[in-house]
Amino acid sequence: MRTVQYAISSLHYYKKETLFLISLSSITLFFLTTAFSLKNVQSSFFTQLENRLDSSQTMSTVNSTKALEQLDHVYTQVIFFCLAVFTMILLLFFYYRFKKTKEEVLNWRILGLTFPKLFLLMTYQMLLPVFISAAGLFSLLLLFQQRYEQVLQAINYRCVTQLHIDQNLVQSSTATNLVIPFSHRNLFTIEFSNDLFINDNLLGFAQAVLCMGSCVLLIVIFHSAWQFMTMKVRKFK
Amino acid sequence: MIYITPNFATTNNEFTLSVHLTEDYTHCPTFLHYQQALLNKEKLALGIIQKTWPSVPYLTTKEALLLNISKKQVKAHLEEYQQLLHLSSTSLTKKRTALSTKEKILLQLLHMLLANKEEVIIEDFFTELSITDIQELLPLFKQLNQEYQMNILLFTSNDLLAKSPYVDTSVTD
Repeated sequence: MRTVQYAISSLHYYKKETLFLISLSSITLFFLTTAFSLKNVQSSFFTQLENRLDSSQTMSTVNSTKALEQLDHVYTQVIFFCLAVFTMILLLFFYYRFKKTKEEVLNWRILGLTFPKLFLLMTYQMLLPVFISAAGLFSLLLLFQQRYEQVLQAINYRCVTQLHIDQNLVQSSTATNLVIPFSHRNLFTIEFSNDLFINDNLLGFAQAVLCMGSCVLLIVIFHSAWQFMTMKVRKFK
Repeated sequence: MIYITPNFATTNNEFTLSVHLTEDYTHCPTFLHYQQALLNKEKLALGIIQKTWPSVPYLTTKEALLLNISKKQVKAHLEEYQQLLHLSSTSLTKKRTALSTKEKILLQLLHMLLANKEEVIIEDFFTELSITDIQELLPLFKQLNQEYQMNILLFTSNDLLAKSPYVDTSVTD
């Protein structure tokens, strides 16, 4: 518990760095959550779409699965891109603060903190900001559910039009000259039944947090190993 | 290169107060040797009394004092050692910036006593201390030596310290 306390006071002391970490992880977490939620919702989106086009019955299922794959691929790419950018920025941040951290680590050792505790401290120093931003984002998502739903809707529609999925599907379905009783935009909305939204969204959020948490943990392990190794071969000036 | 031996040691298990005369202890190989040993090894009965203390900027005086010390140990010995060092309870709760040099040394000695350190290295504080402070501290070091089995090694540029009657051995760079 003492280690947590030290971590909290260090976060309080380095306010700027903490703010930076919190905002960085909040932004990344938001994008990750969005991407994961959209990815989760895709299969139900396509069943909805098929139901809507059911009357015309011209849309081949092959086409639909292909489109589904295409969209899924895009969202997966977004997720990886977010994680990569996040990792890069975090590594740069650690690199920038390396000397400062090194001195602190040395002083911690001289004051008598053992290596395992030092590792724990460094982990808490990183995980606490992530935790804070996750808690903040979670409450914001719950508060602005409707808004967020609209945002998801807009992004999904954008992706659909950008990938020309709409044209492929609608062309094949309008080939028989049947009028679909939906406007273009309405056709491609995701109908969030309340349950679906909460489930997929929460799942997306959990996945995002897990993904980012493990990413952060890996970076911390790498960083602390680096710190400890340079300490062992340290030549004093 | 002179090491005063691994644990500043002495032949027949006597405990000593030694002085290492050096212009700048941060370049002194002996000091660096001990510092490296402290950094690398988990459990070592060696402690360094630092010039800037608490050396981690966000640590309070009390946190640094009781770092890695069990509550049991605090309960059993804190008062005893506090009396021995003539430390008032107010200095334990002082802000880090309000600590005098002498208080810094005494508080760190208190930490070393609580942590059962057998060998203690003291960085070059002595330019910051008044002569009366030094005259009070040296007998105290000697007492810790004899009654609490603590080896003490001072790094200093002040050669008057080396000639003090309290000092057992002295080495020059």
